[in-house]
Amino acid sequence: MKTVLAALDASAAARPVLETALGFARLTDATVHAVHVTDGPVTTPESLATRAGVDLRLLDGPVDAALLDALAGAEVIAAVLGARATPGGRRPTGRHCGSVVEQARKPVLVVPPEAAGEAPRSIRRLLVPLDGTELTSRPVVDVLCPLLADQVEFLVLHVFTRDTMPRVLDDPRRDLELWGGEFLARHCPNATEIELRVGSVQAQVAAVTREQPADLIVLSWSQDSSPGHAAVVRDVLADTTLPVILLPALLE
Amino acid sequence: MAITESVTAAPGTFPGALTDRTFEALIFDWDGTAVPDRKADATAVRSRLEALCRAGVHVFVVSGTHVGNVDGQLGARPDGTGRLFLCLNRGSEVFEVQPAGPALVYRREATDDEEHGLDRAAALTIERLRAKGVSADVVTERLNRRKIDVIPEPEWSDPPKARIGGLLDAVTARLRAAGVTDIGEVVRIAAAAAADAGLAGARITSDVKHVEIGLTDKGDSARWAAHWLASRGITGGLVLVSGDEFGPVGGVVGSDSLMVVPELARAVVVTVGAEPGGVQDGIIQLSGGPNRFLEVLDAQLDRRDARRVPWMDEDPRWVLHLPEGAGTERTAEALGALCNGCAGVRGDGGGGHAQLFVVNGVYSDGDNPRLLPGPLWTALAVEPGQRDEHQQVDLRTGLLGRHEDTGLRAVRFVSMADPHALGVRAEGSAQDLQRIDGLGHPGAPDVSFEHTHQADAELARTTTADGVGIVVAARDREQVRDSRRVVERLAAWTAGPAPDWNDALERLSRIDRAGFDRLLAEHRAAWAERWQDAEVSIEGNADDELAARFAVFHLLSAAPGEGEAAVGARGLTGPAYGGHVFWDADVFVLPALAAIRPAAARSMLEYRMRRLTAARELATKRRRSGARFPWESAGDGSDVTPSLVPGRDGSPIQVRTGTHQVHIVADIAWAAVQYAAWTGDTAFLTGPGRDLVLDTARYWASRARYGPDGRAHLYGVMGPDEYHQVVDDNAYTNVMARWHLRRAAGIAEATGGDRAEGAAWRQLADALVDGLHPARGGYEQFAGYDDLEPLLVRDIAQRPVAADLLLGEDRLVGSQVIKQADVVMLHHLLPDEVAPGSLIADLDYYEPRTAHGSSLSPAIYAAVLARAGRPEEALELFRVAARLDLDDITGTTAGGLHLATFGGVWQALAYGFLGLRTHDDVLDVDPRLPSAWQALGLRLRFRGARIGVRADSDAVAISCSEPCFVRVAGGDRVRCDPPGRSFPWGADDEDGASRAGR
Repeated sequence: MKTVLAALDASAAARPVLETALGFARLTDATVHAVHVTDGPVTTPESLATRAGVDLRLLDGPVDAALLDALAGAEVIAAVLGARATPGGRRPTGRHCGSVVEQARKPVLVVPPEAAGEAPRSIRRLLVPLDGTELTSRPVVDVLCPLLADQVEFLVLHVFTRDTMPRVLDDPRRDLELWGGEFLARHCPNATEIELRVGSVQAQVAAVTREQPADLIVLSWSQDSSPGHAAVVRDVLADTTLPVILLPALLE
Repeated sequence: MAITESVTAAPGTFPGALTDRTFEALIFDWDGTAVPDRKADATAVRSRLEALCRAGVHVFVVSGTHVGNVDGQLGARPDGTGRLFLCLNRGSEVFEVQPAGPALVYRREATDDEEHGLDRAAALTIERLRAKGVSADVVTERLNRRKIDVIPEPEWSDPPKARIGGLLDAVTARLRAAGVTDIGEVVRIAAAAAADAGLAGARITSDVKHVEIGLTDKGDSARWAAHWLASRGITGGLVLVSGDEFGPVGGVVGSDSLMVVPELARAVVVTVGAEPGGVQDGIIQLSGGPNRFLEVLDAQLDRRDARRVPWMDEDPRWVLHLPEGAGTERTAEALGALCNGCAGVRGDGGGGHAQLFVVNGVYSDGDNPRLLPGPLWTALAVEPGQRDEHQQVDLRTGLLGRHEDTGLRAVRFVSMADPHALGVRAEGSAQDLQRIDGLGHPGAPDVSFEHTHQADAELARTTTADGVGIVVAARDREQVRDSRRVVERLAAWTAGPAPDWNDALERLSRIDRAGFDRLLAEHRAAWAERWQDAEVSIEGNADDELAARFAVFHLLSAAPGEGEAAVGARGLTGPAYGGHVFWDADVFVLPALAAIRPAAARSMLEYRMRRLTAARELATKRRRSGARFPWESAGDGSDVTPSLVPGRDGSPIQVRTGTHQVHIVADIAWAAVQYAAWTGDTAFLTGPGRDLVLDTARYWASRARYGPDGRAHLYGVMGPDEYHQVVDDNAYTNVMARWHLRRAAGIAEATGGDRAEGAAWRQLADALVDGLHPARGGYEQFAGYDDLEPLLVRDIAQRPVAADLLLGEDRLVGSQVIKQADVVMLHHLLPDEVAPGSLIADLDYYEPRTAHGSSLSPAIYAAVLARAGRPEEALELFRVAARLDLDDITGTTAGGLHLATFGGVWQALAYGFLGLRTHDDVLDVDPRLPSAWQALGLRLRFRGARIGVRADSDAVAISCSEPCFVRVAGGDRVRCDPPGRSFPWGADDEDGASRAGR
C-alpha cells in the first residue's frame, strides 16, 4: 500500500498540508497517514485528522529525525510538510522543513500556509520548470511520473537565460514550437504543453503561476541550499502560494 | 583492408568477414585459385559463377594468359544481371563474357616506343643474366609484355602450381650456381633493364619460372574492375578479392598481391594458396586451393539464396553514424531521411517517433497546406524491450542501415533509379524479428486513411478532403531458415489527385519483377552517377569532408531531374514549415543544383514557371503589375504565408514577411540566370524562362516610387534581415531589383520585346538608390540603419545567437544587430553589381553586427569571408553551417533538415573557398583555402562539361570531359582540353601559396 505522510503541526499551515496530502494521495492512489511530532498539545493535528478520517501517528524525538525516519518507511512515497508556520514569513521554509527537504530521499511537498483551500486539494495541473539538464528532468520522469495513477496535465516551463538562448531561430514562431516540442520529447514526454520564456527562472515561475492555472509546482533539486545554490527553489518557495513538490535529484 | 591482421581459418570454417557479408563483386586469380591448372575441368566453378551472375554478382577473372585459354577452360555464359569479365593478358585486356561469348571491352594499346622498349628491356635482361652465367630466353612475346624463362629445362617446361615449392628450389639452385641470389635479384635486374630501356613504370612480375617485363600487371586488372564497380556504387567493402599467391615467393612479391590496390580499400582479401612465405596483414588465409575457393562461392550463393541483408561498405569518409540514445530519436529520424527528389522517408529513430513518408509537391488542402503524410511502410515488428541499436547512412549509395547486437540487421532505400520504388530488407532471430509492420497510418488526424489487400499486395492510401492523396502498395516476403528470419518489402507509391489503387499495383508489379537485389543495384548505380558530378573532397579534415558530403547528399536528394520540384525549407525530411517553398530554394539550393545536377535545378525553375499565373494574380491583388511570387507557396503557388499568428495571450500578431519580403521576386530571376550561367542554357532565358524574368521585372516597375529627391525608392520592404521588419530602401532589395530590371531589359531587347518598356526599366534601375555610402565605402543596409544603436552582437553573446530572444523586440529594432547576411548577401549574389572595394568595408562593418540567428547566415558569411581572403574565419562559420543539423545546433533538426543551409555549404565551398564564378563561357577559379585543409576538390558541370576542380598548396588542377575555358586566380582565360590541366603555383608565388592555405 502506498502512503503519503502528512506532517501536521499545531500551526495554521497544518490544514493546507492535510488538504494537499489528500489531493496528492488521490493523484497517486495512495493513503494518507498523518504524523505529528509531539512537542506540545496535539489538539489541532488530532482534530484535523479526525475530520478528514485519516490515521494520526504521534512521533517522538527530534522533529527532523522523526520525520525523516517516518519518510524512510518502505510504503511511504512522499511527505507533505508545511513550509512555515505563518503566512508572510520572510524565510521560504521553516527550520524543520528546510532540514527535512535537504535530507529526504523521496519527494517532499512543501505547502505554504497561504495554500489553504479544499480537502482534498485538487491537483490536476502541474507546473514543471525544467532547465534542459538531466538534473531537473530525470527526477520528474523517473520518480514523479511513475507515482502518478491519475491523469494530470503537465505545463513545462523552460526559461531561456543569456547562456542558454537558442542559437538559431529562422521563423521564431515555428522554430520555438518545434524547439519546445523537441524539448518536451527529450525531457518530459508526459507533457503536452510548454511555456518558453526569457529572463530569470524565479520571476518567470511567478509570472506563469499568475497567468495560468496550476495546482502544484514541481522542482527537482540537488538538495544543496548552501550559498550560491538552490536559488530557484528558495525564491519559488518564498514567493508562491502553491504547494511545491521537491524531487531529490538522485542521479547515481 | 577490412582486417588488420591476417586470419587463418581451419578447413570447413570461414571467418566472419567472409560469412557475414554479401559481396557484390568477386575479383579473383584464375590459375591456382579457381582451377588447379589450365587443363583442369572448370565445370564446378563455371556453374557457381553463372549462378552468382544470375544473383546479380559481378565477377572479374584475372589472369596473365589470353582469352582463348581462360574462356576455353571456363566456358561460362552468364545470363543474369551480374556481369562476367575476363581481365587478361596481365592487365592489358578486359573481355566481357556475354551469351554469345567474350567481347573485348578494353585493351591497353602499346605505342611503338613502348614495344621497342619492351624488346630492349628483355634483351638487356637476358644479356645481363648471361653475363652472370645464367642462360635465359625470351619465350613469348605476349601483349604488352616479354616473358623470360629463367629455367629453360625440359623437366620444368610446364610445372603445375602444385609443384611451386620444387620449382622454387630448382630455380634458386640454378641461379645460385651462377652467383645470383634468387629470383628476386632477377626481377631487380629486369627492372633496371626496363628503366635503362626507357620504360617508365614498367611492371616486372615473376611466377618463379618466368620473369615478365610488361606495361601492365594484375594491379591494372584490379583497378579497371574497381573503376567499373565504383561507377555502379560498388566499392571496396562490397568486394571479395581472391588468389593463391599473395605472399612472397623466393624474394618476389606474390603476383596476386598486385590485385590489392588502394581503389579496393576495405575489400576482403582471401588466399586459398599454400603461401609458404606467409601473407601480409589483412589477408584471410584459407588454404585448400580451388576446392576451398568453391566453398567461398557456395557461401555467397547461400547468402543470396537466403536473401540475407545486403552489406554496406562502411567507408568512414562516406558513412554517417546517426545519434543514439534517449531523446535523440527524432533528430536521428531526420538525419536518417532518404529521399530521391520525388519522395522521402524519415529514418527509424529507434522504434518510430515522428515517422513520415511524403511526396514532393503533394500537399494537404486548406489555408495552411502542408506536405501530405503518406502511409508508413518501414516499421519493423521486433520483440519489445531495450535495444542496442545503431544506424548509419551510406551517403555514397543512399542506404539507411540498422544493426543491433542481437544480430538484427536491416537496410532500406528510396530508389534513385526508379523514383516510385521503395525497399526494405531485414534479418534477425526468428524470435526477435517478427515481420515488417503493415502499412501504417501516419498519425495525422486530419488525413483520411484507407487500407486494403489486392493481388497478394497490401495497399494503403492517405487523402485530403479534396481527394489529393498518396497510395503505397507493398508486397512482403519472408523466409525462416536456421532460426533466422529474413523479411523483405518492396513497395511502390503513386500520388496526386484521386490516386488509384491500380496505378500503385501496376508499379508494384513492375518493381516486383525486378526484385530487391536488382533494384538495389540500380539504386546504387544511380547514386554513383549523381556523385560523378557532385563529389566533394576535403583533404586534411575528415569531419569537414563528411559534413560537406552530407550536405551535398541531401541537395542531390532534394529535387527530381524532370517535371517540377517544390523544394521546401526542410525538403522531404520532416514536417517543419509544411514543405512550404521560400526564397531559400531559389537562392541557396538552386545554384548548387545548377552546378551539380542541372536537371534538378531546371525542375525547380519549372515549379516557379508553372506558378507564374498565381504570381501575376498576387501582383494584381496587391495592385501591382507583372508577377509577384509569394514569400511562401505550396501546391498551387498561391500565397500561403501566414498573416496573423496567435500571440502568447492569444491575441493575433501580424506577420509581415508575406507582405514585405518582396526581394523574393528578384531572387527567383537571379536563380534563373544562375541556372543559365552554369548550364550554358542561355536559350532558357530567351525562351521558356523569359516570362519568369520579365514579368517579375514588371513588378519592380510598379513597386518603385520616385521621391522628392528625384531618385527611385522601394518603400516598406523587408530585407533578408528579419530583425528590422519594415524599412525603406533595403540595399539588398534595391540592388537586386536594379540588377533584375537591367537584366530583364537586356532579355526583352534581345527577344523583340517592347523597347520602350526596356528603356523605362533601365531608367528606373539607374534611378534606384542603393544605399552606398562613399565615406564608409560600403552600403547602408536600409535608410536610417546607421543611426540605430551601434550594438555589436559580437561583444554581447556567443554567436550564433537568436538575438531576438536575447535582446527583446524593442531593443532589437532600435539597434544595428542584424539576423543574417543582408548587405553581405548582396556581395555574395551580385559581386559584379556592387561598388569596387566595398566588400571588405561591408564585411568589417556588418560581421560584428550579425547574430547569425538565421540558419542561412553562417554559410554565406563563410563564402564571402573566404573570397575576401579570410579563410580561417570563413572555416569557423562554414563549420557552423555544415554541422547545423549534424549537431542539431538549432534544436529543431527533428522537424527536418535545413536544405538551404546545405545549399549554402556548397556555395561556401564553390564560390568561397574555391572562388568559382561563371563569366559567360569562362569558369573563374580563385581558391582561398584554410590552413586546416590540404586540398579541396569539387566535381560539377559547367556548360555541359564534367569538370573537376582541385586546389592544394601546389596547384589548381582542372579536369574536364570536354574543352572548357577557365581563368585561375585572375589570370588569363585559358582553354582546358580533356582530360584537363594543372595550374601550379610558382615557387615564389606567395599569393598563390596563401590562397592554397600554405
